[in-house]
Amino acid sequence: MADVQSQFQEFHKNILLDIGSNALLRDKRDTLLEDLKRNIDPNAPPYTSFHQGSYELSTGVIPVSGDPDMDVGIIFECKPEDYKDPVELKRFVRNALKRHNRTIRIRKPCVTVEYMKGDSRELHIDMAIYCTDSAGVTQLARGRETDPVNTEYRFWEASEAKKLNGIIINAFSGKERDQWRRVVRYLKRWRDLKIGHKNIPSIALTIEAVNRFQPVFSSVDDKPRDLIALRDLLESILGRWVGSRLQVWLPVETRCDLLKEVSDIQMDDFKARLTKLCDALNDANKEADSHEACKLLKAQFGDDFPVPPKSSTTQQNGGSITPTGRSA
Amino acid sequence: MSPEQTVFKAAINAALMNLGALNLRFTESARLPRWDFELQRTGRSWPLYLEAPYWSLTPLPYLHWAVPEPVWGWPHTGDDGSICAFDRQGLDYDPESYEGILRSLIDKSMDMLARHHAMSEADRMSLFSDELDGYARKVGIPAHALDRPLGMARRVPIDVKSADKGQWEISRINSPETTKFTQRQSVFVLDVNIMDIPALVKDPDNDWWRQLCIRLPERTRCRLLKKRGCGVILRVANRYGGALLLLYWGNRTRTQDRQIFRLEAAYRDYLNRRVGQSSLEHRAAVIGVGAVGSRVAEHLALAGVKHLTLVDPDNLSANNLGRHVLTRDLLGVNKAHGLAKHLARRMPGLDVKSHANSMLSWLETARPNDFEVIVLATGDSAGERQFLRRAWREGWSCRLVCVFVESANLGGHAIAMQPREPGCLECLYEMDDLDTRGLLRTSMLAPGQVTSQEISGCGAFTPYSAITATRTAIAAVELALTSDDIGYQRWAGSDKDAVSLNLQPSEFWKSLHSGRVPSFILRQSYIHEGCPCCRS
Repeated sequence: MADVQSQFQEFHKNILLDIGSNALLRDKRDTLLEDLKRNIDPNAPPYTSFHQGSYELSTGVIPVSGDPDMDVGIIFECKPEDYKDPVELKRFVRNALKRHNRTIRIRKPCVTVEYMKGDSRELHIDMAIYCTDSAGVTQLARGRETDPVNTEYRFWEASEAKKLNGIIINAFSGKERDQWRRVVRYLKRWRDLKIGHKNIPSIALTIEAVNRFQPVFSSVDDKPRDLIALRDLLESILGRWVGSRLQVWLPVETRCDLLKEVSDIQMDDFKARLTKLCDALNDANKEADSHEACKLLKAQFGDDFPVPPKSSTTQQNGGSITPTGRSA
Repeated sequence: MSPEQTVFKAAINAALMNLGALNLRFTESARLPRWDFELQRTGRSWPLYLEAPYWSLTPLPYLHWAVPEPVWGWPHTGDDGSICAFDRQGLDYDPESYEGILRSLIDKSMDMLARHHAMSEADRMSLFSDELDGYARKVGIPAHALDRPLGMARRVPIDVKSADKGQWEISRINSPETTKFTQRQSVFVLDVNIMDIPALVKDPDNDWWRQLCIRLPERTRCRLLKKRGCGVILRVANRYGGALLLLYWGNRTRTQDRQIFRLEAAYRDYLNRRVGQSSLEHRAAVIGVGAVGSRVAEHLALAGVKHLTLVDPDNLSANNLGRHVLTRDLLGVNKAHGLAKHLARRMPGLDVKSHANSMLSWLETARPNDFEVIVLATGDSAGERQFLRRAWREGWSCRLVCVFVESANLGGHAIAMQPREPGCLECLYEMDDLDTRGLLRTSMLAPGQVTSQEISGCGAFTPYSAITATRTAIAAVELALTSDDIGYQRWAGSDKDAVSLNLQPSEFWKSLHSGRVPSFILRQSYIHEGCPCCRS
């Protein structure tokens, strides 16, 4: 069986998107937060900001289509009853950030800031607006400016993004957490390539991985075995299908099924593709030649998955002289 | 008497009274506390005494039978009447629970005395003959080592060297080889009955000899009186194959020149039984007998291996003394030859051969399949890999074990292999990862560091201690001799020395040290399909 761990690690480097490695996103975020601080209406309540989503969880992947995004949470120090219309708080943010070089839209779950390059979107930052109710539960401002005032379209919805971050981040630690993050990134990249709709959200894959992932390391040298860890995770997920559906429950408010938007046809397709990925991982694991194994994996994970040249795979060990420090 | 001694005396007095001691008298002579008393058991009164040399019940004192000395012919009872109620192996008790200790001691001792008292003299003496050697030791008769079993021999050689005043000093008894500066003499072996022996004494006088001659059967007596040879070995029949007493007079016939010795078995089969293990018919070779290999060889010998072959081209130098088995008197001697000599003395009866060759030149004439196991302890990774590839190419039948230590006492490795079957040292080398290809995956040192040191300008060395060498060697010996599954044993030491030498342990060392990976793994877990050694 071929050892393709080094190829998985290289694949991970190729798809990894984090705040440290993406200076553009980091600069834009800093600028936005600075503008918000400087320009926000003095009548707006005080606020704090935090990262949410894959940046905070270190599970971000470079999107296949370009247009990377970032999620920032803004928690205003007020209560829902202080702003019966949550869109009011969104307006404070939108108005503070208006500039000529960016487009700002109040969308239903957030305020989205878009940066364009030519005719296409270069990147965007989603700013989710929260306040905290008297029970200490954070509430997300939902609703657009175009929604009628004083209707059910503008409302506060319980949403504990910060608590969710804690649950996910603390699920694993050390080398196990590193492997978990890599496996989630592999899965997200595979989803981006193989699933042609947006109904399988990253958070569903992430939560499912928190619940099902088992770290796998070699008993020989304690090096990670990402292929086996991912394969085991997929087998576990596939074993959780009930009838025609997989349900992934959010472990914080609103405790909804994160896959409820997925149609039955999409769910069947999702399962079939997951099974195919699982089979490919098993085939790659059995393959003696790492070149052949990586070709199977590339078919699932795309061109960012490296395939070593045939000559350098199962050849003999390297020929250089190395000091070992060993003796007898 | 100190306050503590006063308390101790009172406590023992009270305990003995509670246990039924009559006519209890305490005396102290030469600072030794002694309690004389009588006990009623099995319908009679037994005169006894107890001495506690250290004013304590640790070590466990003997209960003495207070009868005229020497006491002779009573099993488990010394010449001074001390009753050996416990064999003093593996005992535990609360040292201040005086009454409990004395109750156990008295009950067991009295039970023994009463039981032996009820026996016929013949049965009692027969039982006593089993313990004749222990009795002789207690009397103070000195011992000599017997290098080989007597078997059916009627005459055996002894090597003697001259001592003061024309006396001879015994050097070896029944040794298969002669030693330098010794003279070879012979003694006869006489089979005798315990009833023929007078009570043993440390310095037998004329009267004792006369008693012995009177008691011996006529034929045996004639042999003794003729004084042919330089002495006789009396073999007293017992269930352990016979207790052996050497009566030695050398080439003199005067009574005062006669000496008596106990003979203690010092040969391989006995010594193996003495440590609770069986002798092995194994033929083992150790290639490379440096700090690790010399200990591998020593422990193979002590583990009961019968035939040992040692191979090493180097001579012992003073630089080696810090961690080698061999000692200063062998400086300049080839390590294999020196170790062979050392082990022949260490484990009498071991068949040990030595070759002053390198690994590969030894292979030119050696037949690996003559061995059950070959241990590679050269510290030469490349040479050992070449050796292993040849073993698989030629399909050797012997087990192979590679053993090596890590620099700075970070740890050690022992890998067992069976040529013809998958799973070898090379499987543990990285073959897929381009960055680390060709390196041992389980190296305990981060790659790229030079660890050899210079402190005298006389040559580089790898720093590691004798403890590291010993610990690793034992792992190798266990893998060499176990019939269980074949695998890989590794252990992680401290990084203290590495830190002081500015060396960086590897991630693997951290994992092993923290217990994230097991110290023993079966070869099935590291077989590599592309291995150039075992899978090509």
